[in-house]
Amino acid sequence: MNNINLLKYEIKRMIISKKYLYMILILIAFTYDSLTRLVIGGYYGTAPFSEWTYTFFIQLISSLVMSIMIFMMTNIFNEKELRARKILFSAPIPQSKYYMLKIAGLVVTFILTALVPIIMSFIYYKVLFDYSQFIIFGKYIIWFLIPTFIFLLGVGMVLGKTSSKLLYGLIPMAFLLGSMNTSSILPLWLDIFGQHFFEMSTFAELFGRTSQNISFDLSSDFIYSRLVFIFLGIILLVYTCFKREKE
Amino acid sequence: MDLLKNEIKLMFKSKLIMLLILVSCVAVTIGINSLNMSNDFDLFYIRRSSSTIAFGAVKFGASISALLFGLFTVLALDKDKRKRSKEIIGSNIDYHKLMIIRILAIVFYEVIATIIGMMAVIAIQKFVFSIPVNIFYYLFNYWIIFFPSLLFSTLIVSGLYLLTDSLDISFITLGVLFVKSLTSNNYLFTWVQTNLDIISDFAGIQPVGKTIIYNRLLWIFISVLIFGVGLLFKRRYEFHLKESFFINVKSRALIILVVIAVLGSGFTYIKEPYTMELIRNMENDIDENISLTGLRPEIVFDNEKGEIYGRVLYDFINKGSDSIKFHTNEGLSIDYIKVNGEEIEYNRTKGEVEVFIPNMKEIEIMISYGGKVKTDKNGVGRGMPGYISKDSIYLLENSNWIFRPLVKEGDSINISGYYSAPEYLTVVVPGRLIGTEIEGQLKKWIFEYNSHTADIGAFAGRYEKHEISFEDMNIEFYYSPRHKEYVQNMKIEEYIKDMMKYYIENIGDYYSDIYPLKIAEVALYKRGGHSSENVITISENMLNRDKNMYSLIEDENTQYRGMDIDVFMSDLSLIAHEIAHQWWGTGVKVVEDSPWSSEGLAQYFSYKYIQSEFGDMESSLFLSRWESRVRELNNYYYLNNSEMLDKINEKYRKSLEMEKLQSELYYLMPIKLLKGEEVLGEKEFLKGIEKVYKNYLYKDLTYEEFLKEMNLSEEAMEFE
Repeated sequence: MNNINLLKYEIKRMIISKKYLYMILILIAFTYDSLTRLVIGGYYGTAPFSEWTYTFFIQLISSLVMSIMIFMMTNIFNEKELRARKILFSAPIPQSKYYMLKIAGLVVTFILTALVPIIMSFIYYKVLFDYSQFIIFGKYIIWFLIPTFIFLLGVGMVLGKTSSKLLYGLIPMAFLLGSMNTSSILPLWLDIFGQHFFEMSTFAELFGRTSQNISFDLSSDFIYSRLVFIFLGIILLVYTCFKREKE
Repeated sequence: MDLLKNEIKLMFKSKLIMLLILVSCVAVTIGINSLNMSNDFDLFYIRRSSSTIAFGAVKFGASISALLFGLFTVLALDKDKRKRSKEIIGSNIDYHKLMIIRILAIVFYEVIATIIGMMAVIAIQKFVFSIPVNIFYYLFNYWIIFFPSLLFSTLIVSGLYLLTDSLDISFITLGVLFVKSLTSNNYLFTWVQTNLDIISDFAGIQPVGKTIIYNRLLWIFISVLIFGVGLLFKRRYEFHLKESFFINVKSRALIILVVIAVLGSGFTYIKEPYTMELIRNMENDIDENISLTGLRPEIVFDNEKGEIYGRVLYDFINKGSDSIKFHTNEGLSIDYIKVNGEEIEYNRTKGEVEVFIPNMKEIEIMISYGGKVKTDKNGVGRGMPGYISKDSIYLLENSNWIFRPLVKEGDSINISGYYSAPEYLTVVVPGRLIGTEIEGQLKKWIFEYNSHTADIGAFAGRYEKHEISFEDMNIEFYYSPRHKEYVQNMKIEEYIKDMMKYYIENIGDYYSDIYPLKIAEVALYKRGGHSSENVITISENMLNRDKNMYSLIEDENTQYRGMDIDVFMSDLSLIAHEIAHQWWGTGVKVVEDSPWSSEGLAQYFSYKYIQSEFGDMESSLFLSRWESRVRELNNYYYLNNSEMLDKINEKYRKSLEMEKLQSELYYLMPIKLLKGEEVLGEKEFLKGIEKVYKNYLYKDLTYEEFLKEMNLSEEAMEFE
């Protein structure tokens, strides 16, 4: 089998499962609730389709999307997989390739998972508000979701390789970090989900605003911090791929 | 028993449980400071006591520990499946039984975590903060809030695991229930950490304790139900769900357990006894053909049972109506209603009673009723307009504890009657206290009052009463002796005197020589302040902050401007606002027509007081906040695109309208008044206000009349 076929098989194995189906159902329910109950009102009085509200929506769903991804990661480190790995490693497949394959599978699964709430939100905007300028949401989707994902993917792979139980501990941790206001608990720079920046921007831009349309600008500091998370995530992933496992 | 001991030992060896207990202890310890970590400005610098420390610790700790113990439970139950040892163990021992023993072992460690967490926080309170420990608060918080949260988490996730046979699905579903609990306003759903923000140092836990216990009762049923259903569907041998169910269903005990849990949870939810949907009294409900001229309440408070009973006599002048509607409190049941001395039939619907009246000019209605006052469904612990507990009574007029007639208020309403309460309580009555009588264990507080409104409340507590003498008047100040030190150190009485002096000099004399101003401290279960006739209530946070605040008074030349100054200014501004209502609201009845209302005038004068006492720097902060909020709301999408409002649900639409109304009344109107002051000049403006007050004392004042008297136009007061 070539690499593409292996990857296809890996993705299939992940997404065609009861476990993934249930999680997607929960994600759909959660997204529907967020859109109809919270997004519809608009974030802090902005339009429901404003950049602010959309970023708020991304923040709402990202904790669940990330938790689902970590759940899917547990597949790589469960007992069944570990037993299978012993057989796999006896075949001519290097460990680095094995993990790269798994990571690629997770990346594709993440994209597919994240597309569920995103597509739902686009349909919702089109149907309810006849709004279709979705292109402007692109940068918020990219800068808020992807660095968080890569960083947590890296952390998850390192933890999973150490012990699968730690991965289960990471799930509530990621969920709580994504859904709680952490600005008074964590240092401001430790902004994994981008909430601190979003909250500070709200204080600076939306409080006492003098016009209806306030654009949501991503500062260069924020972009750098997101790049740092991507960089850290990649380092952790490289470490996972190349660190030799104990026999 | 041996199996249980064995399981406990096995878990101990895994070390994970020790880590879990340690994390729980760290979480409760962090929680000690959770009030200052929140965004709740009112609760910053609240004085630490057993009630605040124990509750803060438990609230924060429960949210972390419940989720972690849930995770541990599901990992423990899934262990054999992961290790593929389920069948081997099942051939030696009843696997069903082992699961239950494993859950019991986890519960054992939850008890240990609760005890150690409690001891850790007690030790910190005692040895680090040197605050005396009231063990009651610890026992209540740890065993009614903290431990049940962990227990529910374990039972729910176990049930879900047995039902789904999947670690992931069960844990994710627990996560969904967990989030729902954290975000719900309904106290029945908040199974993790309750929906309180704080436990009152003034009134104790009792006013809200019963709702916490009720929540626990409901969730015992729900978690047992989920667990029972899980046992019903627990996979047997290699069978699937359906086949396993047919085997499990043979257990009669299990069926009885599930049936009891279904009935129990359903009944507990439906028959919830403490809350109701509070009806707002809208202007258009008022029958203009009838006016209220007299109100005679004779009320007895049974603080042990948390009940009231008694009767209220209403006098009306009727100009052609055949019925009178009253808004009621659903917790109070009517014994009888008499119209002009004769008992009659009446229509009672949810929150309302309609009484049919003869075609006569003078109508006298007597309503005899009693029961437990219900509070607002979404306001438990945060915005309770009415409660009666052993140590305090707090009944605002908007709880409809005295059934509110939906009629016009006469120019002069004679109010007289009595409140009977246990002797150990000091009752703050509206109007003037005529006298007191002792009747067995009860003390009767007889009062009389003459007013153009009938918004009377009832407030009582274990107060210490202080008379603040000012010129030729006395202000009665009622507060808890526990907060005396703060009141004295922060010179609250001096500030109250200054406020009175400022208002008398700039508005006019206090509206009455007969009815003294009464200021009463109340619990934080209703935030902020309130003015009912000549009684002002202020929530305890204004009289019970940390000792560190004393430096604000002692060290006048402090260069450092911290959050504590903002908190103190906000407290004083609120007290000044409520006192200003004695002039605007009680003295002059300001006819509300948004943005015009008594709130705007009270805000304006509290601002002026802060400006005169502390200078422009402090007062300008309030002004900039108001301007900021008004601008913000002016730029709200839905308020500018009203055609889109039909897309949002009614609840949200109403909350948006309420937000807008509040912004207009509390922020826009004082800004407009400051604009008027800018146009006329401060001296002229205040002179004009003095004239308005003099001319409209005991009368209604509309916005048009105000503008005319002040020689101002609406355009001049416009805020861009």
